Amino acid sequence: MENSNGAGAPDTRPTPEEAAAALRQADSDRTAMERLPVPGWYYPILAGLIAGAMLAQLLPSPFSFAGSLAAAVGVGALARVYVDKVGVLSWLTPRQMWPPVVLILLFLFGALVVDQVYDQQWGWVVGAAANAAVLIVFGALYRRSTGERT
Amino acid sequence: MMATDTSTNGFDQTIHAPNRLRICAMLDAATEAEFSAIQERLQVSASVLSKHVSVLVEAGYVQQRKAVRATRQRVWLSMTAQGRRAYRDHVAALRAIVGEDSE
Repeated sequence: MENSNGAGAPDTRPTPEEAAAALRQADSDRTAMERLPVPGWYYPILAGLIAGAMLAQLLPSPFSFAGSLAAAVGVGALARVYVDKVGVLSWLTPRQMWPPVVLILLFLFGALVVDQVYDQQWGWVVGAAANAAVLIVFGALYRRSTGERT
Repeated sequence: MMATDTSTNGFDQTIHAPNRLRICAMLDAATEAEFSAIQERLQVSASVLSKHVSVLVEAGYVQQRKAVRATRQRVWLSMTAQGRRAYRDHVAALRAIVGEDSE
């Protein structure tokens, strides 16, 4: 689509200064969408749900699955409440997301290995605490980067 | 001074109107955004925003979805694939006008 004319606007191109100003404004709006404010309760609840899903593995078979399922439903509900509150559905950029995701998967995999290979269940407790800490720290850092207080 | 380089071919008058460029910038960064969230950021009236959104919808760049939540109707906006392409081409054209390399 080239040089479309919308709403009767004349097909005039901006000067370099005008183009630079338009780019600055667009970058600022884009950044605002990429760094949405997150309520203080969001990451602690998310941390609780993730830790709960891991701790549910300590329960006997049908209950461990039910616990994980309940935690997954909880994460979905939390995300929905958040999206409704801010009015924007947006994903973190890969750069923002990979550090906590890699750590969470590492602790999850570690707990699974300790359980399956060594038949030790303490890994789930340690993993749950570690993942809760990862999410709370990540949440605090994210909120600080968006200029929010505690 | 006007740039005439062929790399500015993606320049799009429909997008370039200041508020429409801002709407596209926000929607390109999100999967979906509520009408009122965009309105709050732009600091314009609902009717002004509605007019700009209509132009973008007509061009096939933006789509609207209506949803009722807690008895209130909310309008969610998102960019179409065509809209994202046009917006990115337009940004590349602006960068070319400024004299920067496009991303």
